[in-house]
Amino acid sequence: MDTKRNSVKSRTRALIMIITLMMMAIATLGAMAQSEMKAARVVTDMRNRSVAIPHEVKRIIALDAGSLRLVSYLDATDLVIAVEDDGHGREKSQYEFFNLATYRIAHPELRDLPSIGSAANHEGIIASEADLIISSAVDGATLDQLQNILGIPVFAVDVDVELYDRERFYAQNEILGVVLNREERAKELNEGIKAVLSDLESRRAQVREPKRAYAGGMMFYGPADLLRTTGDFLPFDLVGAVNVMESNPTGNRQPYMTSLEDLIAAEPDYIFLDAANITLSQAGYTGNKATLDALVPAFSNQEVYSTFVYKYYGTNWEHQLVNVYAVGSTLYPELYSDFTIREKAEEIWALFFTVPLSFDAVCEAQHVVPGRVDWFN
Amino acid sequence: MEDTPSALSSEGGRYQAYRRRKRLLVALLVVAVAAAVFIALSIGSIKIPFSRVLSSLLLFDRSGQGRIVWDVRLVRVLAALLVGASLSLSGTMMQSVLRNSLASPYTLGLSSAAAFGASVAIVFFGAGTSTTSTIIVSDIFTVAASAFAFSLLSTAAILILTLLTTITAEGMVLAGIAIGSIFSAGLTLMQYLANSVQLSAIVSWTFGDLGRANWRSLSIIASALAPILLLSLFFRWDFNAMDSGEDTAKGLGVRTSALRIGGMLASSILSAVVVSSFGTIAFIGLLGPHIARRLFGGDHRFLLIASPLIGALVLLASDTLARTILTPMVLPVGILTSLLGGPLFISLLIAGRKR
Repeated sequence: MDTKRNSVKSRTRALIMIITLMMMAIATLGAMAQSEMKAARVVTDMRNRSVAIPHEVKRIIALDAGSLRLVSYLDATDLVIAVEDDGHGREKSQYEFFNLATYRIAHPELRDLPSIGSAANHEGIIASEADLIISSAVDGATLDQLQNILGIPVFAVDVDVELYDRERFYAQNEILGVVLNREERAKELNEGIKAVLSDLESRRAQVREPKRAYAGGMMFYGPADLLRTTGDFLPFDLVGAVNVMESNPTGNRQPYMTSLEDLIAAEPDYIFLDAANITLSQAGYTGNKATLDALVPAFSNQEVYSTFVYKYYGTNWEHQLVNVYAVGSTLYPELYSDFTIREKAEEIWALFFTVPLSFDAVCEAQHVVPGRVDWFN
Repeated sequence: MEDTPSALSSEGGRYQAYRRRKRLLVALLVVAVAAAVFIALSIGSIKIPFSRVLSSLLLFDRSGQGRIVWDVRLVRVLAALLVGASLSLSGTMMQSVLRNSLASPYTLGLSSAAAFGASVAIVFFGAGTSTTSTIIVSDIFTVAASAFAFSLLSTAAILILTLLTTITAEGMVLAGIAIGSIFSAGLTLMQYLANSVQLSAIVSWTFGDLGRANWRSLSIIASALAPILLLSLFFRWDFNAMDSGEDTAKGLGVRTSALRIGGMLASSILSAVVVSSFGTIAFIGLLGPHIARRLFGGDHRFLLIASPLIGALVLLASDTLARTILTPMVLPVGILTSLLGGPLFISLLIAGRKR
């Protein structure tokens, strides 16, 4: 009995040994394969995927809304080898939306890059021999599939992050800085934004009587009139104003359509409208002029203003910060009297894009007339 | 049925009772619509007492809260009534002249054609170019005009097919479905050609939304609905004859092809006006006529009045729900009519089978 038990024991021991040896062998082989992949490093992207990327990224393509904007923030447009058709001056229509995204004004050379169509043009992307794809697609499975088809690492960015979630915004810049070897630039950008936000915070702390304001004409998956509003308008929260509208009832904090009656019930004293939808908003106003003039204080007092395009091909974070100052100097001129909006905008654009942009040039290219609207004349 | 001669007078009495009953039912419907109007006018984010709603409405008082009642709520309420009535009337006429209970502006491809027309305007004609301080101009008039033109084009195509090949009523329905699918494909192509901004403009156009209503668009719809409703009532006996079969109708002296073409043309124009101003509001054109048939049978003397009333009632109820359920967010009513209309329609079918 004992010998039998011993033999079973020794057999088990031998089996464990063999398995351990096999696992070690596989691990060694795996490590060798890893080192063969040209010294790749593994990073975690913004969708919590582990992506093995080359040590030195030299040729990138940014796909879908907002991803190229983030690349431009990190001063890495020189790595971009091709652009999508969408929004890059190659739209298959007569409309000129190219300049609505400020990074394209800062980097006009992007327009001359070869086209790879869209994320669906797999062969074109493979042929371009990019060594990294940056995508703002949301779904992990889509990203994995794209990576498998292309055989090129796909790094996911989150372009829906707002400056409400600052830590995530900073973390994204940092990890993208690591990926693109722009760590210094990422640090400089994050420090710069932190400085802007703390400047705003010190001004906000001095607000005695918060003013009541409404944000309309929000661009969100397409154009809309003054009834497309949001309860989470960053400029109002950062300058210390009361947003007369509630947050999106579905809880996603995004813009939504409201009704004429809700706008009237909210009784805002100030209205800020996104420049992208100013014409539609004006049409919405003229259609109900008598009613709005009589019942909404902002219209009766002509306190209606236009702000820089906030959402176009993803979130325009730099414009959002310019808008904070624009809203602040409208609502609380005494707290924001130490600069002109022209100076402030150029300062913020320089922080984000590293290249100087002229206020007039941006306004003209984006058809923005900042300040009070001219509907009442 | 009693066949004895002595029953003739009681037969007449029964007919009188039948008419009385149906008239009472129509009167009840009118009361229900009126009640729905008052309820809808009293609901909203601004609290207005019911008595104030009533007095401002009856006294034409447009001051203070009266302005909310008149210029904010009434516009939307009237839009729901007119649109619901128009689509439902179109459906009733189409179902009668095509002798097919599946016919409606939506199933005959009219909505697809309108959506295609709107997308063509958004992608190709001036619905996005810039003037002075303009970035995005969805030129509402151009979009509506193009939607209108294309929905008439789809009707014309069906009618021409009918004239050229003398196809049957059933063939017309099939042709409508085929033409609708051609336009759906065209719409998909337009969406593919569009850039992100245009794409979203197309998608949001196709959500039927009564928030686009104003007094001008209401007057346009009213001036299409009124004459077409009167005209259809004038031909009510012809529609009834049509129900008992084309040959019987011909035998009764109805010019069936003229009625078919005229009815299709009138109902298409009516629904084209509605769809081009408000986008796709699915199912009302099917739901209204079917509820009306369930309540009133196939007699067009009552159907042509009841069906628009029911369409108006259903759309008003849906829209009131759409604008209050997630306040301050407003849902496009087109989503709700399909969402609620689908199950309602299925329950109608089940109830019909049980009977």
